[in-house]
Amino acid sequence: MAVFTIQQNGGALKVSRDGVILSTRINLFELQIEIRNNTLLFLPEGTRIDFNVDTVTGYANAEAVADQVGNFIFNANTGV
Amino acid sequence: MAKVFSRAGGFLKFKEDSFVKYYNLNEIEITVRDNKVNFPDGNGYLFSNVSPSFASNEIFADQIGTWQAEAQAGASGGEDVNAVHVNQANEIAGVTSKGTPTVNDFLLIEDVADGNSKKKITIGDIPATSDVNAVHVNVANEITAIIEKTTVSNQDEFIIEDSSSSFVKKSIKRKTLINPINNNTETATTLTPNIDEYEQESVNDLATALTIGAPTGTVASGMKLILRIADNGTARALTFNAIFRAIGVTLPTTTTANKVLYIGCIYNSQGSKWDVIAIKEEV
Repeated sequence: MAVFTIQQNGGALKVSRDGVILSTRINLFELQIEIRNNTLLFLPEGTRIDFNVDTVTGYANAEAVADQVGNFIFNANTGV
Repeated sequence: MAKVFSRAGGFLKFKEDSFVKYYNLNEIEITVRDNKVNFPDGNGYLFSNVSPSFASNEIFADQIGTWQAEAQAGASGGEDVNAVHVNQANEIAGVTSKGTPTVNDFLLIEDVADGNSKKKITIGDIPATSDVNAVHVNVANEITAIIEKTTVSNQDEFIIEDSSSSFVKKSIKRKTLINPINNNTETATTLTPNIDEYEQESVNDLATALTIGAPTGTVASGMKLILRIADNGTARALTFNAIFRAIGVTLPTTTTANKVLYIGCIYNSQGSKWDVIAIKEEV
């Protein structure tokens, strides 16, 4: 079980796992997400968050996380 | 289960059962071919099998283009939570109000004379509108247009401007309006009635001889004036100015001790006289 956090950093998505920021910054302008069986998968980067065992701080489920990332993309597009 | 498409920020969101796919609207390319709208991952969907419903594959694809533009330009009205929209209720009600507007405050308008382009004006710029029901100081035939009451009551109300209170508007009952205005004088050697102010002059406890002078003020033929004189227990001499003319009576030359004396006069413009038509003394 891991605890993830997500954060927008300009045009990138910062993801941390158990307090450790993942070295890869996910490009918000090309990011896609798939959710299957409560598991969220960032494409093409590959980070996987399994909501059957993992959590993301501040979000109840995978779809809520993905929706927020959509807002990050919108913000990045509009300069927020 | 429906295949539901929507925009989620910068994503095109596709949901079917527990599967959710988020396509990045910044790089998505779609094609309309083989009677489907085809996505880069190889999936294709028929317009009639998705939600919301579309009239054709082309309109379905156009909607994705619209979402793409909204995501990239922030064009969606719903994304700006502080915007005011043409089709949303209670948005202006949520704006902070100004308790006391001034003529220099700005208003937002759309100018019909300039293609409805947005412009600002001040409250002071707003053209004055007339109250069609108001009564004005310079417009004729307004009072004549009001419904007439044909029988008068003492409780009827009139509008006046109070001369003793900076001419503020007040109401007054007819009963009060027709009450005579009396002026009391505690003894005097000369009484000069002021007919602009009073309808009755009363001299009480007269302690000296009294001369009734010519009244002051603007006269009108038929105007009434009552003089009421009472001495202080001793008869006092009375002298009348020549403007007072006896009509069928004799002007009194003295009071009778302790008797109230009434003198009734009517102004007669023919000859400019105050005609004395009644002398009545207490028995």
